[in-house]
Amino acid sequence: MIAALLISMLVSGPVSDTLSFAEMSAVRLSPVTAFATGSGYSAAAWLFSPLDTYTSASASWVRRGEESPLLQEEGRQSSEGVIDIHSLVRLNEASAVRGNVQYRNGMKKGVMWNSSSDYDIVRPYAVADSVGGDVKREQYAFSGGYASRRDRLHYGFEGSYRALHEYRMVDPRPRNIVSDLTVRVSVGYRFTHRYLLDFSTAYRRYSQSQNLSFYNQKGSNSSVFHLTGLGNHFGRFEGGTSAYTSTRYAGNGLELSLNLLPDSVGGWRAGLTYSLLDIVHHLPNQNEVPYTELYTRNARAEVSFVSKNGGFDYAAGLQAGYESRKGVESIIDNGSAGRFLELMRFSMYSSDMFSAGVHGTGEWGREDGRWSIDATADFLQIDSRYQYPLRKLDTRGLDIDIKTGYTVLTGNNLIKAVIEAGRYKSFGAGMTIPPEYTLDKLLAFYTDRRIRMACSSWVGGLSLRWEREIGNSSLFALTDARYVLLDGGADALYTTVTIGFIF
Amino acid sequence: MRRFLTLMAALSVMCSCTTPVEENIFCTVTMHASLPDGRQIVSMTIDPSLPGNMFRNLNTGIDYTFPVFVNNTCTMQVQKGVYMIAFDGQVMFQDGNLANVRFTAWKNPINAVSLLKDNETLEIELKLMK
Amino acid sequence: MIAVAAALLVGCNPEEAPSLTVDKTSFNFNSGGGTEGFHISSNTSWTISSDASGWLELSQNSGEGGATVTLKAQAFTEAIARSATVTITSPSGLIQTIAVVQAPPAPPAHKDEQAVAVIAAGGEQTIAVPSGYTIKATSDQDWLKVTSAQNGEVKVTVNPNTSDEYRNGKITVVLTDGTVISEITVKQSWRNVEPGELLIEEVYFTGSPIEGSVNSSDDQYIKLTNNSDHIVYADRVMFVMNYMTGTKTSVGAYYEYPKLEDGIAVSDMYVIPGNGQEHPIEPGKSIVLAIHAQNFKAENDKAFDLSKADFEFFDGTDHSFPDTDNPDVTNLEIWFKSSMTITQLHGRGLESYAIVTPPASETADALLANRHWSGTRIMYFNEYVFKQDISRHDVWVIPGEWVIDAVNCSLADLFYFNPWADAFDSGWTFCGEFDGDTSRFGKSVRRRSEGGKLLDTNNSTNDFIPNATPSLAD
Repeated sequence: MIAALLISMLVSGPVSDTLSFAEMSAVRLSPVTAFATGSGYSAAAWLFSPLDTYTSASASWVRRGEESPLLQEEGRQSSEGVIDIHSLVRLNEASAVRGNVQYRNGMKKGVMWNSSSDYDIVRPYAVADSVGGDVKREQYAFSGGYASRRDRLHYGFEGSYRALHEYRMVDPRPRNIVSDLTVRVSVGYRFTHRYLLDFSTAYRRYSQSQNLSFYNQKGSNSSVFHLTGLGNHFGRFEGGTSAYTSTRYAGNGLELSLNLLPDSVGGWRAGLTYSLLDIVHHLPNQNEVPYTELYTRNARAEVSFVSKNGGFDYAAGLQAGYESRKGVESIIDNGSAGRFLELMRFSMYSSDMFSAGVHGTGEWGREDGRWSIDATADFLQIDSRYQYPLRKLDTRGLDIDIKTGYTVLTGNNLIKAVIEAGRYKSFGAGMTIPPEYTLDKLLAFYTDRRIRMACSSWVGGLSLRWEREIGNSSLFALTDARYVLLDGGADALYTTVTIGFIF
Repeated sequence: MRRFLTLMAALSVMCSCTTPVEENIFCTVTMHASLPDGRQIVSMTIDPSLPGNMFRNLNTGIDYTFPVFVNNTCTMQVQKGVYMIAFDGQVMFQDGNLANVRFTAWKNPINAVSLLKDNETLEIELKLMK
Repeated sequence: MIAVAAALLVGCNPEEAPSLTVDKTSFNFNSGGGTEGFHISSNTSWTISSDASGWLELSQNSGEGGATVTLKAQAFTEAIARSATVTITSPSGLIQTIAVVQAPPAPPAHKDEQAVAVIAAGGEQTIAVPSGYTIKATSDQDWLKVTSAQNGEVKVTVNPNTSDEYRNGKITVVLTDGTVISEITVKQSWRNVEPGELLIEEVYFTGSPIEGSVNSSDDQYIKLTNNSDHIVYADRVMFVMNYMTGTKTSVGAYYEYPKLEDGIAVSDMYVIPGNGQEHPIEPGKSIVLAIHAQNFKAENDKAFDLSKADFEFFDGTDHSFPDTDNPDVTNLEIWFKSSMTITQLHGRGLESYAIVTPPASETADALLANRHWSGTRIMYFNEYVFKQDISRHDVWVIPGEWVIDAVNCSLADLFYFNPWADAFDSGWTFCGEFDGDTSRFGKSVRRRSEGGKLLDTNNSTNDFIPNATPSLAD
């Protein structure tokens, strides 16, 4: 993947010399193009994307601030600097390479009930302390791939790697290191003069070493909990001793995808994707005994149609997604044999998330000024359950979002402004948590979460992008702000400021 | 769609463990109490408010309340697991006399007892307290 | 003629014959004594006498004519009936006798049997026996001497017991006819305090918090309390700490030891000095053993003033961490300390404590020479197994019969077994909720009380209050 990126950086300038960079940016920034390229491009099928050779390098500052975060496990505030370099090089008519390097460095503030990293991947089996705090993070990500076609066949392979380091500088001090490697291979066949059938498979290897330590020699002010879902925790390993505060996640994943797509932007698209990720959570200081396992299954189906003729371009599509998480807990013996043995396993936790939505976008106007409109409506349903003692948490909601934008091209300058408005309507949230089996603080935490999940919200946003051609490259600046106002009065603000150049 | 997705989940072969997942998570445990002299116990009560009295799941930390023993026996349903069991109780004999008894065989984590089957029987050998 | 007749009438009336009679001729009194009366009818003077040796009192000794005389008998405690004769005599030689009999007290329906426990120091003992009898008491042992037996009490003098064992003697109490009315078994201990009489009431191991600091004061102490109804003596009571570790190490390693059901394995032994009766503790009263008998309150208002403790752990000055001695506080005798410098209680409470009484003949040198523990302990860490020879460690086995009280301390996240066996303490107590919990500072483990007595069921989980406010703060 690094080689792909290096190759791309040696090749500068667009393959096509009929469009300026600004004009190419307008194409690239078109919501209809974004719709068409948003999904369905496997390690081989991206060969047929409408994008020409380019390299983009940018530096961003991303900030999130939430008064009442839905996921306090990720903190109520985060700020991060991101350096992102992406390159696509069409080597010739039949092959291309692409690569991406990203570096992120920042901090999450107010992280509560989570001392693990990648919470969305490992939940509910996070290790947690009751104090919380600010977490520093640093992440490197690399990816690269090669795709080629011969006659009706096309094929490609791609690799991506992510390394994440998160840590805290005051007690209790988590220090987590994540390693996430994915390798993809895809093949496809053009079965009509326009349409391709593409099959893709990927293997994922995930690992996280999670350590929590206390540097205060006289002690700490938090016990460590091994959460098992909806306020439950693995009581045996609760405490402050480092025998239990170091854990290791080891995961294997697989993805299968089948897609129908046209060889250009316009046309029908359909895709089915299924992925699974199994993560076993070990205690390294208890002879690596596995005490929880998480089985995550994702399925996604989508169908869409894109029409792009330079006049009124539009796209419309339907998508449905389903995620199932199953959590298994081990019964570990008394250790009298000198090592801890797994005696039995129970499936205790389940979480099903279903989403379905419709998306439409349209763009019209002239070359020097185009309007766009983008609308989505998504229904979301989440049902979580812990078997014994019985715990439940569920919610449903509908999210409607509309973006209206105007892109103006004047000479070597491109300016794009987008205004967003949206509404998330929650249909309520239900919770059953037995107080006699739950820590008071955790019960309060989940009670707050239920209230938050039952909250509807309004969204407003503004995005401004300015791009200027300079020689064979272009310089751009982008600022994005998104404001969320909950019905209860709490709010959140998401901002991104980016500068970069494309060549 | 849901059936298809369930089938896909069932076909998953990525599990890294060989111990099968147990369907029935509960165990019905019957306890037979006995004294060294073999006297019949009409009833035995175990006060749940005493902190040293425990029928505690070693892994989950959940504590169960002992039912009253009648004619040396009681039955309760617990989650399958490994348990620390210890108590100070009060027995009543056939002549109406009361006595305090103690059981500590499984009080330490290192010798906690496994209850893994759907039905288990435990022999509780009591000691008379002075 | 008339004169003669008158003279004849006068001179021919004959004189009245003297008479003396009594209305009762016998009396019976019970052992309690009492008062009875009889009537004398007479026309002459008379005298009364009795052959009772002081136990029968007459209301009068003489009289003339008719009279009522009272007899008063005193209480009688001997085993055989007594009698007396009361004789009434007239000058003319008339005699009346009255028999008086007094019955002995009924012996007790059941023989009184008692057991009396005496401490090794011996001393005077007063034992209550059935009263209302003239009794005699005898002992079957030379070391057990009867000094008096009367008025329902037997007083004995018990010589000190300098052996290593209990000894028994018997006192027999008999009536004057040899009937045994009481048997008293006297069991003399080989020590001056028995299990359950002196208890560990409190252990303050966490230390008091210091404002603005991560450290705590070293104001640790142990409180021992007399839970009996009589004076106990703290002389030669030994405070010990465990050798076996019942908690996992911070990385999860743990030990398996040889079985030890009838003793305790210890590594530190500190003894209260004294010849046997120098340090009495009144019923319900306590003594404080301070790790450092200093006034910590002078520098930290949250700490305690231990400068007036009863005893101190003074570990000398000839090492790299010289201890401070309070000359006004008696130092404990060190029979063995495992620390190269000073002894401290484990600040997080991962330790077990006991108080034991070695026999009078046991010396430090003898104990260290003869009671070393040998065997193999096994350390488990992950899948590694390490065997270690205990005989190379500083550990000794105290026999179970020496133990008078014990308490295990631990923490839930580290606990895996009790260093002291069930016979000594079948539970454990704690300060703090998890290892390293800073909220533990300024808290102690304190024994509960019930009905004015400390609770002692040999289960410190039930007997102690964890995370308690120290008694010195009350």
